[in-house]
Formats: sequence, structure tokens, C-alpha cells
Amino acid sequence: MYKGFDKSERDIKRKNKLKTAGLIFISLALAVFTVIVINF
Amino acid sequence: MDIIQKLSQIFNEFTTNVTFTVTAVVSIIVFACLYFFLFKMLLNNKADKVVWLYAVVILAFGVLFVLSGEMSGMLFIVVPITLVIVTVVLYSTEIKRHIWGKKTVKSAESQNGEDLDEEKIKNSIDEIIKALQDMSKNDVGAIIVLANDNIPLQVLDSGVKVQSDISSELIESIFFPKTPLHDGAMIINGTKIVAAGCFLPLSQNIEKIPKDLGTRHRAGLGITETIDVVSLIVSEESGIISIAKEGSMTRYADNETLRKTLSRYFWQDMSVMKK
Repeated sequence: MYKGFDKSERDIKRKNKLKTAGLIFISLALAVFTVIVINF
Repeated sequence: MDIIQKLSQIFNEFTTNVTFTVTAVVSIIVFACLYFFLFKMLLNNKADKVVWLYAVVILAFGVLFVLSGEMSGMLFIVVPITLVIVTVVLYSTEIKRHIWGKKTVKSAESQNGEDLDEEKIKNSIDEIIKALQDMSKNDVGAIIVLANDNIPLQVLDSGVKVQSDISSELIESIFFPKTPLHDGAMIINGTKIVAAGCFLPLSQNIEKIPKDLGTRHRAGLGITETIDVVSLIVSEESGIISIAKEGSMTRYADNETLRKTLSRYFWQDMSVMKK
């Protein structure tokens, strides 16, 4: 058996949700920063 | 220290003086969407480092613009636009794949609105499992992709269009060694075998695939990384049946796992498509 190779569906979904949440956070932070600099 | 003090002073001045207007809020939403889709596309293509590089570039240029004081803030808009252009040029192929994966491309081989008949589905599941297990016993290599009307035409065109009902005899005949179509992938869409002998994009995630697995497994995994489909792979060397989904592979699939996967494909994935 390949250990660490199989992933349960729940793990994949949880990882994807976390990834998306992180991306939204980074995107929002950078967007706020961009608008601040543009309006400066 | 001077730079940090200056930055904090600028930030304090900004937060006390600025009021967030509707334009600012709309701008934030627009930029957030732009960054989100840009970063998501990069992450889907395993370019995690590029995401961080872009974030650092945006922050660095932002700080530079603020500190210099001489350049107009509006000029800063050039930075995200340049990043988007660079990404489009560098990742044109990946962007195309990303669009294929997200958008449901109604292929010419779709079910043409045909209702999925319960009896036909049960029969199809049985036939696919029988074919996979027969091929597994005889160490015949095979790769079957379960599509939801979302296989790009380029992939279908690379093989031979079949448009036939699913039967274990047909599947086994197609994958029988030394026949012309045995080396490519078979595409199943609903209760039809739409094509055989198709070429699939190979997975570039070398770390994820053990060395003893060959091109067939890489292709089976590769297509699931870019498009929302399920691949069923039979190893030619060992006869082991593997299931690939969302860029992850489960090996040693038994009768129960196969039935579960196929049932989910027919009852969930395909029914969602028909709604």
C-alpha cells in the first residue's frame, strides 16, 4: 500500500475549503492595500 | 526604523482621514475578485510560489509608491495589470484548461437531453465493473474517464468517436492488447461510450505518483487535476484498479468501492448535470 497516497473525500474537501478561505483573505487584503495606494 | 515610522505615520494619517466611499468599496471588490481568480488559477497549476511572489511584488511596489510620494497613486494600477498580462502570457495553456474545467462544455457527444434511465444506469454500472475486474484478472491495462459533458473537444478529437451503449464486451475488446485503440483513454459520458483511444494531459505532480506507476496512471491523474471527472485505471503490470478524482488517486479499488464511485457518478454528478 502507498501510505499517504490515498486521501479521503472529507480530507480533500476540508483542504479545499481552507485553501479557498486563505485565498479570499489574501485577495481581500491585497485589494484593500491596492485601493489604499491608488487613493493615496 | 525611519521607514517603519514613516509607514506607520502614513497609515495613521490615512485611516483617520479617509472615508470609504462607494467607489472605494467597489474598487476593493473588483481587485479582490481579480486577485482571487488569478491566484486560484495559479494554485490549480501548482504555482504556489508564484502566488507569494505576486503578493510580495504588489506589497513592495505599493510601499515604494507611498514612500516616494512623487508618483501618482493611480500609476500603481499598472502593477496588477502587468501581473495579469504576464500570467496570461506565461500560463495561456493552463488558463485554457482552467476554463475547460470550470465551464461545462457541452460536447457534440453529449446525451442530447436523453433521460437517464434507472435500469440502464444499473446495467452500465454492472458492465463497467465486470469489464474492470475481467481486465484486472488478465492484467490488461485500461483507462476509463467518467465525464459530465465536460470533456474538451480537443481530447475527444484525439481519439476515435464511438457513441455506443456500455457493455463489458466492448470495453474489453477496446483495451485488448495490440488492438489499435487499447493504448488511449476511453471516455464515458452518461450511459454512452463516446470515444476511445483518446490522449489525456499527463499529471506533472511527480512527487505524488510512485515511480512504479507509468504513463497510464499519470494520464488518469492528470485529467482529474484539470477537469472535474473521475478516472478508473487498471494497471497492466499488476492488474490493480485505481480511482483518480480531484487530483488524488485511490489504489486497490474493490467491487464495493467501484460500485460506490460509479453510483455517485451516475446518481449525483450526472443527475446534477441534467437539472
